[in-house]
Amino acid sequence: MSRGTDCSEFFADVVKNVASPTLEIKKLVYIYLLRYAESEPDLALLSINTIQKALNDQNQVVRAMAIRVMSGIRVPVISQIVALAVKRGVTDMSAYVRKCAALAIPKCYKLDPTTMLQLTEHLSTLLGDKSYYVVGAAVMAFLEMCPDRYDLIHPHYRSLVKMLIDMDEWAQLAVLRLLTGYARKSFPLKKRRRKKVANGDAGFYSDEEAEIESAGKVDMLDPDLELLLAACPPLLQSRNSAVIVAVARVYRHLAPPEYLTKLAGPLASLLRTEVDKQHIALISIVSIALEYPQPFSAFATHFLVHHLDPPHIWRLKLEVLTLIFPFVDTHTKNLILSELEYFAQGYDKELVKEAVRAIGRCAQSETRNAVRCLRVLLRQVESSDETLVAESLTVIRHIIQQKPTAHSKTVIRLAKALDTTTNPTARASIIWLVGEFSGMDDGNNVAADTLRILAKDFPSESDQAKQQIVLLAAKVYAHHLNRIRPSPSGQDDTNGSDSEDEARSHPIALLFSYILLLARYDMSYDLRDRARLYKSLLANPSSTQLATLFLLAPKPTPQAPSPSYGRQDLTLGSAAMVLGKNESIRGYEPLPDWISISRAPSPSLRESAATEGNTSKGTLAAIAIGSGTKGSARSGSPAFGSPAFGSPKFPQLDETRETGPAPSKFNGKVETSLEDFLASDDDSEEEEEEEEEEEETEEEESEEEDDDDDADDEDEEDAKLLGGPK
Amino acid sequence: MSAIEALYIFDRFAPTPTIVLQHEWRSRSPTSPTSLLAHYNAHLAPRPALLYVPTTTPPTLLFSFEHNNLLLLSPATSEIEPLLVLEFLHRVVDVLEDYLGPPLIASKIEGSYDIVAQLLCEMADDGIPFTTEPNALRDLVLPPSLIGKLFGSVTGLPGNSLSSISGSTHTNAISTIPWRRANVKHTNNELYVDVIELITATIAPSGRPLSARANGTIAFTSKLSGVPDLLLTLQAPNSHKQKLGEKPNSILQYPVFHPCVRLSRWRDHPGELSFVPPDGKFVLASYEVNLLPSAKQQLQLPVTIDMKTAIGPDEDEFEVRVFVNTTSLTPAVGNGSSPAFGSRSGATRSPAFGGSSNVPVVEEVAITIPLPPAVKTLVATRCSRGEFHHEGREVLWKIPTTGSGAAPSSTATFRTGVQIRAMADDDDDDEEEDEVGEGEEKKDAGTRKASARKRRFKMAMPRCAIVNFSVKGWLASGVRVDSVKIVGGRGMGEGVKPYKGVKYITRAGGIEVRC
Repeated sequence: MSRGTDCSEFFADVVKNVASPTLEIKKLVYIYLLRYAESEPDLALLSINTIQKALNDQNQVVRAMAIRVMSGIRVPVISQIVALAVKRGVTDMSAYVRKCAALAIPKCYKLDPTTMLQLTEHLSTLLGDKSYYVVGAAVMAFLEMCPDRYDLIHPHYRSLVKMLIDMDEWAQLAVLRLLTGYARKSFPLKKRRRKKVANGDAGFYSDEEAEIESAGKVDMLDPDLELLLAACPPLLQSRNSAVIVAVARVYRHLAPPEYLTKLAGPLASLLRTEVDKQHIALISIVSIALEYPQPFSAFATHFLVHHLDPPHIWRLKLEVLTLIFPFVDTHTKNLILSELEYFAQGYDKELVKEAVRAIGRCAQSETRNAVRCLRVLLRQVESSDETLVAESLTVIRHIIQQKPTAHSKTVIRLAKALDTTTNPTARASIIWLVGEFSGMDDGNNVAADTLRILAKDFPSESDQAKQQIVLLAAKVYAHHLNRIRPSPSGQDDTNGSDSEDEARSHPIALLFSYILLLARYDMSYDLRDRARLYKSLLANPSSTQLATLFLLAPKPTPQAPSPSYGRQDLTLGSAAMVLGKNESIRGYEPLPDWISISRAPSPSLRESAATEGNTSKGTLAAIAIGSGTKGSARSGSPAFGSPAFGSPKFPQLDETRETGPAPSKFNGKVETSLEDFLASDDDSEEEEEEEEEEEETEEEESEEEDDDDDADDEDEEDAKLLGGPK
Repeated sequence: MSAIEALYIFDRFAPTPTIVLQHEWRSRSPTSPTSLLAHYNAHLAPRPALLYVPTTTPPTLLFSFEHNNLLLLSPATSEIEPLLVLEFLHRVVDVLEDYLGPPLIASKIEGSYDIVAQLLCEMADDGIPFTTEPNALRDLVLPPSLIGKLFGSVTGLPGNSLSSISGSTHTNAISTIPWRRANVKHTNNELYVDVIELITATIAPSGRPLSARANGTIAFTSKLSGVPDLLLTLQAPNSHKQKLGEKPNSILQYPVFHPCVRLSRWRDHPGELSFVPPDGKFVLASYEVNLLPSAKQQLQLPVTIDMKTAIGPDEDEFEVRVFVNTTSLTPAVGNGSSPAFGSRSGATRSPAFGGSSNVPVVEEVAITIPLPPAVKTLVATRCSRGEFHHEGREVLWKIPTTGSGAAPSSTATFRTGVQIRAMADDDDDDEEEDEVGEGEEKKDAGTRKASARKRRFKMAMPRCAIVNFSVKGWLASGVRVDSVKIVGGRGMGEGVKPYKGVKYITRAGGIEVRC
């Protein structure tokens, strides 16, 4: 089956084994069922009964599996049974089963969309679950089923943020994705942002409170949003690169730019991972750096291109280097430039091109940089590598065009380089540049002279170069005509035929007609056509208006945007961003815009729910066997969260545990696992000491959590003081 | 909305591309695996991990990941976070390797489809990652050896006894700690810490290092019964002139941790890792260390090279000299002054580092010299030590450092001439030059030709060399494990002293020396 062979013919035989008492066989049958039930719905129904029985099994693993299989069988007839199973699963004692039930919800919805109402109810129960294990799955189900029903999230927002750190990495991803959309929809963007942001995380709260009390209207982030942002930094230490990028997305799209500084290091450090992850990390970095390159300026050495980098990596690295270029100190600037120069001289043609273009982009940022870059590029023009010369000239042209007046000497130097350059594109590029500058200083420039030299070897030039030579000739001649006739429109025939003859005998005019003559008998008809065009354009020396417009029009300054330009608008970390295509990716939705203040849901929605959550905690905790102790596994206590362990003596830091004897009360009903038996045997003596030890460590360690709680409470109080802004 | 739809594994080097495994989490995907493979192969060699195939209906995002000779493809028809899929694929490979034993090859997967199918089924539910922790999976899916034993022992017995046995081995408990398996029992309690650092550096032609970083990984192997609570303390190197109270956190940059590590402890006491370990082998943390904290800092590497290009009478030779010097290395294991690891808890040290010698040994020195495409062959190659291998567009030169000739410092030289390929455009050049030279003096053309030749040789010179080596018992960053203590937990007997071992390895993962 795994090989892809069709095994549906054995359906009946396999399904018979569904009642097998062996767990392994049962599992394999389930896998088979999931695969083929769709094609044999009638036979599959036979197995449903057995599966239903499994729902009542003593073993939580079996129960969980039954829910998964039942919801996974895509037979619409059983949707009611599945809904029932989900309903039971939601109130199951085992967190594991509840997690499976949560994941079954969207599957059930797909089977029968009419159950929506009922299912959302279940979902909202699960979202309020005390076990982060379950909540994570519930969020995934939520995203799957009804990602727009943000009203369901309001009551649980704060608990979600609080649990974020304890969830597993996939759940963190789901929650971050959910909350990014949620935050955009729920927290109106204040127009005037606070300019100064407090330094540390701890600072945020105190600052805010002060400001709230002094003036209710000080612009700032919504405290709830800030809660989310403050919960994120620890996630940057996740081993899962996806989580790091998800945090990057939160900061990029929700937070003021100051937050990005925290992000730069972890993102840059993703470059030490495998190539595929590097690629995506780099794309994320580029998309942030397009708008905010500053935070990354400290990491220039991370982006040095390595010999073994494949093309898609070095392209991005070069791009990042050019983006941060304007923001680094002189030392690093030199480093980047020499790095680019080094690669410009390499033998990988693509890399050479890209490196030279990168130098060009560096030059665009600032004039002072441009001079430096130009110096580097001019060094390349004399190189023997054709690609390099051609590419550098194109870039030089761009740089010069940006500020033509400052670069007349450069043009002279380039004209000299014509003697040695052989690459047709390069020659063409130089000739064009010389032509552009032929009008400077009233004709006291190299253009005419260059033309004279070029005319000698005209037949041996390439087509490309020939075209440019003809163009150059036309330009020089047009300038010449303009000069001898300063106001051509004013005095038409006053000078008479003498001056016209004089004009015709002038070396430039002679050169022009000579070139035209050469071009006229050229092999290429394109060239012949061009020559004819210029000839008729400049045929009448007295009216050069049209020719001036045509030939000597000021050229717009070319801008070479960063290759990934446009990516910064796409949601960070999405496939669409990686590919750089907006519309075509199915299912890609840009983040919603910030909601306007008037339409934002009242913060009290989150408020009331929080208190509601507190009141219902008792019951929830009772359901969440063992989850209370588990709840703080990451941030707090050394979680040995088996129910037998949850004695009332336990330190009362976590709110869940305040319910005191609740867990022990349930001990009887809980399926006491083997572990518990063993544990109680082994540890009954040690337990005491250990607990004491734990108490100590716990008190230290759960400070963080404590802080969060406090902050939360304070937030609530604040809101009460304000009387609920809406 | 976003789900991992399917996973297809291909054997990359099979004569005909055969599908080794296919697993669909959602309903059958509209594009067949073979056509996906065709789309994948349509892209040229260095392929990004995410390809977009617009020609299928519906358009597909194709994620790919190559591992050994396996190719993993995962299509998605709608928007999904690419890193989610890629991380998941990495996890799948890790888990399969854990179960089937490395290296993961096609025949191993084919041999145990039952296990693989169960694993994949557990790892994602309806395309949403579900249980990916290896320890949690161990609770749910029996490793092949166990099942084999099970079935082996009950052949010929009635089915009832089979079920009873499997019922007893398979706990119905799911550990309350997601990353640690329930009911861990070991007769020998052991724990090993391997700190591995990978140096990447770029050295400018002048010999000045442009960047140098060590990427460290702390691999942990725990074979401890019950639920132990460990505290691992890292110590900053003395060589970094650390001030009193300065913790390694300032050197270890951007650490990432296994979920078991308590982040608050690290935040409050940098350098201390407090955690309940998963059972077995896992990566506890990884970090990076900038080996050039300030511009003035000297980079000390045990292997340095010096490269000269365009030498010899015709300027068509190049030379690489290698200096191996281990005297600068201070062993990572404290000798005398600082308390050696493990002594605190009274356990014997691991022979891996304690027994052999405290002097770090440089091994596996190899120089890779990438050659430009213009190079045809190498002629008159001389190599003072070791052996070289010229294949494709690079030369691999291996230098033995251990054995009889091993000395704390040594040098080796590699010198070769280059013969260049006659390229098509070169011929054109020649012709052109001839034409140009027609009217001029022949001599001029001759010198021009010579200079052109020189230029061509210059283009055929290597531009960098990549140094690889590995050193045992030394860390580039100087970080070391101060202690590993069992500070709590339960399930271990009172008097049990676990065996502890620490190993330090530094590898050069590509030190690029330019010239």
